[in-house]
Order: sequence, then structure tokens, then C-alpha cells
Amino acid sequence: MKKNSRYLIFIALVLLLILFVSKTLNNKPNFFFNKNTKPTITSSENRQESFLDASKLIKSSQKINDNGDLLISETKNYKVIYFPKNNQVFVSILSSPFSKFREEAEKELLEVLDIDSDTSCKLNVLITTPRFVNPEEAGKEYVLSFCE
Amino acid sequence: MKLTEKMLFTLLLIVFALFVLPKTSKAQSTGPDFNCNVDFQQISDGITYRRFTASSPRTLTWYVVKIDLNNPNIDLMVTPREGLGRTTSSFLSTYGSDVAINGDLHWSLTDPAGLAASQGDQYSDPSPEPSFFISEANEVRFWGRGGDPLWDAISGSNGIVRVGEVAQNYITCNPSRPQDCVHLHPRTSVGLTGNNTLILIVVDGRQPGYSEGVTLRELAYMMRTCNARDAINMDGGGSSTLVFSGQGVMNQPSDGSERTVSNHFGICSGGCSLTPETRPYCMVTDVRNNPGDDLFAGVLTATVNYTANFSCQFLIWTNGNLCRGLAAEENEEADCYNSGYYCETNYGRVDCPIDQICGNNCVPVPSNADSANCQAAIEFQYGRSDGGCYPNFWSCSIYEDEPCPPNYRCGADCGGRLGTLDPFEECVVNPYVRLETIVKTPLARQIWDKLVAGATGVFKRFPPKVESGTGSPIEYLNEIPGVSPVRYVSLDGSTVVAGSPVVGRPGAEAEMYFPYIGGLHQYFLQCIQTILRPQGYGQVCPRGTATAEPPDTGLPPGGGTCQESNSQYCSVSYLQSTFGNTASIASQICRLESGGDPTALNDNCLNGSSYDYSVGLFQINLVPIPQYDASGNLIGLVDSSWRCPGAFVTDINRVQPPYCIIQNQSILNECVQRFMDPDFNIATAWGPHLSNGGTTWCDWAYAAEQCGIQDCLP
Repeated sequence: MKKNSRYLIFIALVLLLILFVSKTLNNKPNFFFNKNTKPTITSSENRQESFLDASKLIKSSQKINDNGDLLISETKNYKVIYFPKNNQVFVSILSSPFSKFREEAEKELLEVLDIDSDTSCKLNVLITTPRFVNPEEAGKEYVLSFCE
Repeated sequence: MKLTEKMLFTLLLIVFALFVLPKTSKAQSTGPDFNCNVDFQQISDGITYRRFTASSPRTLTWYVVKIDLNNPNIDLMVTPREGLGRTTSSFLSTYGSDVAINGDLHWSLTDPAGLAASQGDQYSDPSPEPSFFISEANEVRFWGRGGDPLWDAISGSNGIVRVGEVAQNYITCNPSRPQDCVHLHPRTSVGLTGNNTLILIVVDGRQPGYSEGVTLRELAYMMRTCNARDAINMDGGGSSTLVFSGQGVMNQPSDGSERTVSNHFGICSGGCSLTPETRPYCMVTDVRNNPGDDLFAGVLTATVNYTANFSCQFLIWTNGNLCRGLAAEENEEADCYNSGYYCETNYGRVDCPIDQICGNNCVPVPSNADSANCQAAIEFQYGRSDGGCYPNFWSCSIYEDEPCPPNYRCGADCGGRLGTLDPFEECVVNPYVRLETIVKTPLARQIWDKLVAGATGVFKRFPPKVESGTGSPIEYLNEIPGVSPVRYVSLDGSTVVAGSPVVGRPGAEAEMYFPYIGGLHQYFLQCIQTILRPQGYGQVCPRGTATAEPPDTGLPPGGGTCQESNSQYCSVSYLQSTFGNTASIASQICRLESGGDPTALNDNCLNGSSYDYSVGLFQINLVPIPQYDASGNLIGLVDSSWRCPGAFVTDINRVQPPYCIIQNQSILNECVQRFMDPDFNIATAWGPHLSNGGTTWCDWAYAAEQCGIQDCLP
């Protein structure tokens, strides 16, 4: 009887440990705040994952709201924001002409993320512009030009 | 062996405690510390009240009302069916309660979101919302579906305290549910203690410096501080209102004025009565329903007493302040100059220091060395001592061709232009005073039910059935109001505007709407003929159905021809929780306006290129809005409390470029930060000042037109 209860307790303990391990694995840390972990940004198609060097991002990132959105890069011509909730790298073009500054922002994106263009095409990147800046291009959504 | 078992047990307990027991988020606030047991003042027999303020965890103001349900004089009431859709003040004054708060969220002002009943008349069905119930003997009970028979019932959005414990979701604070422990809003809550004391808590919010609001978690802990055993959160935000009889609205609703809400909860010391004590509306007694006739036949007058609080900014007469300010109003740049300057325009001294003049476009008097040759030549030639080098913009009666510095000429008998500045400043404020008219058509609902919509209504006895998708000529019934032209005139000559002052519809062209009357005409008089005639004859009845799937047009569902956004915050999935079934429209607008950039800032009003200081996802404009009277005359700028009051100068001249002048940069910075918060921006876009719950889109007229969402052309 005693032996059986020992087994039962042991099995319960193992199950709890398994539960804990699986729970821990499911709670992936926010990569921007974990310098020891390689960050993961899921691609827009959710087929592949690419790995980025977080340290460079952390240096230039600034939390912009309580949702944890990060301002990766900003000039008067464009702004790059990371939305952690849907792993989206968001580029807002803030000057005209759109095409010129889109190109500039794309270059900056590769540089700040320290990735090549092939890798960047696996990311969920969205490029837009507000209506008051570029009324012609506003309302449209673009991907990186070299991924088109 | 025993030791090993103990060790295993201990290990088991440790692992259980560490990893399985729910963790409390230490980072989340449990709200302000306060003593809910002292310093309450009595406002009626059995009702006490206290106003609290705190600076931690943030600036807060809230109100706690305690109602002793053991007191036999206390009576409780829920808005009756015919009292729906009014302000809490109107509810209080109509039914004579001593204290009233706002009630449940709503689908429409006459359709609360959850279960609601008044004196046995259940007018809103149960929903997942939590409810509390009041028996005929004024016994209050929380949760469930209510007793049998149901007497009074009202619902709220969230159960926050159950059986003396804060609800689990406000303890665990799941990050995927920021509405539990993160979002700050004004709140209204009702709770009940174990000793039968009803607790009302109303927290003000969205007003930095006064009260920023609390999370639901904090509200739950506040209720626990007041010993609530059970508590639910009612409608909040701009709806949160607490009214006392004889004292009016006690809190400061975040809309800046009291909001019309669906239902209400009232407490009467001495007994409530569903018979309205006063009739704040006009009872229409002479009604005809022939199309084209005036349904409102008669003249009613009312005297409106009001107090208007306003402030004006005047220039202060000192150290050239007036000189600079008045000249600026003339689009001139003037300042105080001493005699070492020649000025193109000399306005006299105005308020400049002694020995100085107020001048515009002033240049230094050249040195004696620079003017020496000129002076000598003028004296030699004309015998005058006033020769010298004067600026080109001065005119002289004598000129001499002698060298002077660039932009100066040699001359005598010279002078500039004399100007005048009107030192009289006037401040004219035209306040808008709102006079609400409520149309009350006696028995209209009952007639509508008996003749048309009721299960045994006359209309429904005629075949074919009212049914969608079966080819029936009547696919659905719509509650169409009757409309009648009506004239609002002022006896003292004041401008009268009907409806929204922004629209500026003249009072003489107003319309009055009568619930159900139009529907009676449509169905009982017209459609009844159609269904009795052979197919194809008779007038066409309203067709289609509100519940059927929309036809596949290839366009986004919900209306609009533009694409929905794929960005984080403008996506339909994100907006759905706020905009519901109009999320697609909101997404299209958000995509066009900001592209999904929560930090988008259009400050073009500063340079005069557009009337914008527009912020965030929905580009919400913070600039005070010009107001026009019915004749199109500008009457002032409205610095609405929900935009960014105090940030900009509300000078009437700001309808000319530059369209805005920043008055207080720190206020503006706070506002910008607030409106750049995506959730706040979305909530404001959805709120009553902009899309009004996703029902009107003309604040984004360009997008509304561009995407075919709404015709916003005047």
C-alpha cells in the first residue's frame, strides 16, 4: 500500500514537472527584453522563422506605449515600429515623395536589424503612409520593395 | 521509508506552490488606499456619501454612496421601459429618486445590453452580462437569472467581486486581457456588503490632473475596501454618472457633459414611484398621421435659465505687450524702439516705456560719420539742419545725391507713416444652451404592437407571413418614426439651432420624430394593401432583412469600398472588440488616415497649411473647432473638453492662418501622448463625439466619401 502511494506521488510529481516545463516553454519571453535569447520574428506567412540579433535592436528601441510597441528607428522622413503582439515590423513613411523615402526606410531597416534582403522578406513587414503626408499612396499597404 | 514519503510530499507541495498555484501580478495596482468607514455624510435617511481623492497610484477622484437596506424608508428602482434613453439627471428628476447612477451598456438607447426589468416588466432579455435583482420587498441579490416573479433587475458588464473575493481574472491579470488590469476608465459599480449595505462607487477618469480612472482590478479592490461581498461593474467611460437630488451631477463625466444612457438605477428615501413626478417633455395631444401634415399641432413655450462660464484673454497694458499684441492682430510685427531707430510705421507710444515708440519695421539711425557728407550738403544747399541719411521707406520733400549706407537715402524734411492701434479689446462669447425636447406619443408602442408588430397584431393575421428569404412582400418590420416639420424660435432674438450646433440647421427648419408613427403608416396603412393585392400590385414594402448574410459583392463586409487594414491596430480583428460589426468600416478609415501608425501626428495647423493638429490611428483633431450660427457667421471656437482643452489659444482669429497657436505646450504634450495610445485613440473614435458608436463617419469626411461609406457632403 505504502509502495503504491509512493509510486502515485512520484508519478504526480513527474506530471507536475512536465506541466511546468511545457508551461514555461509556451511562455516565450519578449525577445527585445531578453538579451540572452535569440529573438524570433515570425514571418508574415507563418511558414518560417528567422533569427535576428536583438542587441542591436535594444540599443535603438524605445517603448512607445503600454502595449510594448517599440520604436526601432525614426527620422523626419520615416518611422520603424515593432508591434510585438503580431510580430509586425511597421514602417510609416512621413515625407514625400513616398518612393524615395520608402527606399531609404528599407535600407535603414536592413541595417538596424542587421539582416540581408532575403531574410527580411521572411518578416512580417508592412509599409504605409498617412493621408496627410502622401494622399496618393495613403490607404495602400506595401511590403519591402525587393520582396515584391 | 517514512522520511522519503515526507520528502516527496514536501517536494510535491513546493512544486505545486511554485508553478501551479495562480500567480498574482505584483506589478498591477490594487487601487488607492482609503478608509471606506469614516467621514461619510448623510444625504437622506439611510443614505450616506463621501467624495475621495488620491494621488496614488495616480490622480483620482471617486465617490462612494452607502445605502442601508435595513432602513425601511429605502426604496430602489430600475428605469421603467418608458423612461429609457435619457440622462441620469432626467431619470432622477422624473421619478423623484434621491440618488441615481447610470445603468447598463446598451445596443441602442432603448435596448440595454443585459437583463433589465422594472416592477415586473422585463424589457431586456438576459445576456452573458452579470445582473443584480431587487425584489418587491427591496431585497437585493446578485448573479443568476433572477427570481420568479422577476421584479426589478439591471445588469452590468463585469462581475468584479464574488462572495467576498475579487474575481479571479482580476487577480491573475492575464496580459492578453488588458481590459482587466491595464485599461484606465471612469467607472460605475454597485456592490452589496454582508450586512445588507448597498455600495455605489463612481470613479471619474480621462481627466489628467483631476482623475485618470481606474482598472477593473482596482475597482474590485476598492469595492472590497468598502466590504462589498458581491459587486458588478456597470457601464463606464463617459456614461459614469452620479446624481443627487437637489445637488445635480456630483461627479465630472469625462465627456464634459452628462451623457444620455439607456437605463439607470435609483435610490429613494421614502419610496420610489414609477409615475413621473414632473413631465420634462411635451405631451403631444393633438396628433394626425396623414403624410404631409404637421404632426405637432400647437405652440409650446419654455423659459430657459442658464449660467454660462467663460473666460477671455486680454492683452496687458505694460512694457510693449499691447504694442506687440495689437499690431499682431493687424498682421504687423511691432515692438518698442528708442530714438536710435527709424520706423516705417510709428504707432505712437502705446504702452512702451517713456522715450520709446511702438514701431513696425524699424532700422537703426546711421552714425554721424555715415551721414556727415549728406548733412553738410543739405545745409550748404538748403540751409537746413535736418538733413541726413533716412531709410528708403521714408519719404522726404528734399533729396540730395550724397552717399548713404545701403537702403538709406540722403534727404531732409523726412518722415515715416503714422499708424494707429485700437487699444479697445472686446470679448464676445455666444454660449449654446441646450434645450432637450422629448417626444412622447401616448400608447404608440401599444398601438404598434396591437396593430403591427405584436405576435397577435392585426397586421400579422393577414397572410403571407412576415418572413425573409421566402419571397414574402414583407420580409421584416422596421420601427419607423413619424416625422413632422417643427419650428423652434427664440422670443428674445437669440439664434436657434436645431440638433447638432455643428450642423447648424436653423431652428425654423427643425424636424421632430415620433416613434412608431411612421411604422404604423408604412405597414398598417400601406403594406397591408400590398399583401392583400395580387403580386406586383400596390406599393413596394420595405424589403431585405437585417439578419441575412450580405450578398457577396467582393467588397469588405459591413460597407465601404476600400481595403481593410492589415496593420496591428487598424485590423478588423483588433477593432472588432470596440467597433463590433462596424469594425470593417473603422479599419478602412484607420488605414486611409494613419496607415496604422499609432504615432502619426499632423501638426499642419501651426504652419497654416491645414486645420489639423491630428493625432494617432484615427487622426483625431485636437484643434478647437470653429462654431457658426445658422447664418454661417463665425461665433467662436469650441475648446471641447474631450480634445485637449487649454492646449491652444482659442482666439477667434485662428480661423485664419496659422490655424492654431500653442498656449500650453505641456498640456498639449500630455494630450498627444494620450491620443497616441492606440486603445485610447480607438475608444475616442468610437465614442459619442466622433463615430458615435460606429454609426456616423463624417468626422472622416474624406475617407467616408472616398470609400463610399457615408455621404458627408453638406
